Amino acid sequence: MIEQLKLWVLGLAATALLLGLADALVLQKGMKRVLRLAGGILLIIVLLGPLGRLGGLELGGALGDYQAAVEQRETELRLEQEEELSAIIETDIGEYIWDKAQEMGLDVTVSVATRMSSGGVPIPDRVRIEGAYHEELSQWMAEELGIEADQQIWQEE
Amino acid sequence: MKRCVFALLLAAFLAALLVLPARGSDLAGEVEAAAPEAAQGLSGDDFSGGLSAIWEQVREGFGGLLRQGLSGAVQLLVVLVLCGIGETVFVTVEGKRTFNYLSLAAVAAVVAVSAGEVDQLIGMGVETIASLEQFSKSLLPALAAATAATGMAGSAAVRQMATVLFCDVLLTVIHRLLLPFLYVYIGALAAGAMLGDGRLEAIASLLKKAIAWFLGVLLTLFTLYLSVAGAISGAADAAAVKLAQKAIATAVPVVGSIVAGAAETVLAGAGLLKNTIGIFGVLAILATCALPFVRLGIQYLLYKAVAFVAGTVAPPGLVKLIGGLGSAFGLVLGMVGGCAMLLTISVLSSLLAIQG
Repeated sequence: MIEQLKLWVLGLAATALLLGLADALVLQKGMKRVLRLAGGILLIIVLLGPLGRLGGLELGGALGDYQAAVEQRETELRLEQEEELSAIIETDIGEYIWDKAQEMGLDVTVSVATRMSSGGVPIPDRVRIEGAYHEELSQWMAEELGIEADQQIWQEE
Repeated sequence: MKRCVFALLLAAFLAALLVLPARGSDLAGEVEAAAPEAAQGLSGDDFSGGLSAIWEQVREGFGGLLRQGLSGAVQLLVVLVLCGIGETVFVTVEGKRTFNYLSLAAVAAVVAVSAGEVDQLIGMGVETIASLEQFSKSLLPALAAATAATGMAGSAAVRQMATVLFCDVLLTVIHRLLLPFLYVYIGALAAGAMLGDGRLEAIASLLKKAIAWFLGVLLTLFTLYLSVAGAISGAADAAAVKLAQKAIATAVPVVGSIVAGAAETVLAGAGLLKNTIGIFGVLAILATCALPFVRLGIQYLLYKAVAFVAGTVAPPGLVKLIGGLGSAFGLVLGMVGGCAMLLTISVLSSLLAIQG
């Protein structure tokens, strides 16, 4: 599109320069009038010519590419944002569970994985606990945090 | 139970403070490292301090630039006055004003005196534009990331990609069209002054208007597009935020509190980061353009002043040539200003955008 724009402007400038030169060379008044009329028509044709060739196809292609680039960038930015938020939520929920485990006298290591809900919010998906299985803690997680037993992975150290 | 939730929210806040400064300082650090040399030492935390630093920079450089410009202007004035005296003598001796080699020699002298300055200043303009383009490659993605973190991913993407697109178009057209047109403009002015041909002067005037018109139209289109596209994508972002808030509200209460707390702290931190990066970006753009603007502005005013002063003694063709050369500096100033304005509008648009 830029190339076409450049060619159009250069063509217009070249036509104007040539007409100016021709006007300077022709001395007879009658011929000058004819030349100016023909030159004016030629200039209008050169000015409006590219509009007929555009047809919306190449312009549409360029706009389509741009739109795709915008959507891709938006997706990248949303992913970055989700990753940042997920990291914080995973840390916080992990610490919450660990605090509760400490209250119960358990020595465990907790790591949480989240997934995006339909509303675009990270929610806990799985919990990996390194330590002996503890039923009370498991039930607490299911009731308090909505992390059911099948979402809990217990690994004895 | 309430104590646990409170403790957790506090932990979320503290965790976010630890996470965000680390990421935020990465982003802000990348932008500061990529800033042009003129912007070193500026900070996004102190806008008025940055403006003062830029003003000091301009104040220190102003004297030297003025002396440099005056030296060239005085040489031009001497050429014009001598030519005026010579032409008066010639007309007195010959009895009529006709084509003479004195005009050719005078135009050649003016071009010889000003050619170095014209080339140097066009080169300086091109370098400034290149610096701005290079800086924008770090500034725009970082600003988009910070804006997206405030919940406006759609608007951030639109702003960044629109700025990149319009910058690309502007730079391509400047390098491939406007700068060649500028040289053609100067050539047409010089040829018109030598031959006394009004048509060449008319072509030069047309080229000048075309360059100025193009820059103005592109900036206007960019501002309009950003306003419209920003409003549309802003509405989409607001809808996404409402959906997320609804999802939080329907989640398990403890989880919902954690998510809400984390989102609030991300938002607050991202807002600060966006402002820091945005303010630094504006300061860096100003600092990069300050001295080139001053130099080009001084040259423009001096050449116009010389044309005005010499108008009474020098031949009209030469006076128009000098005035036209001053306008050439003005056009270069316009090109640099156009690039700077494009970036500044994009940055300010991000800074001023508020989540709906």
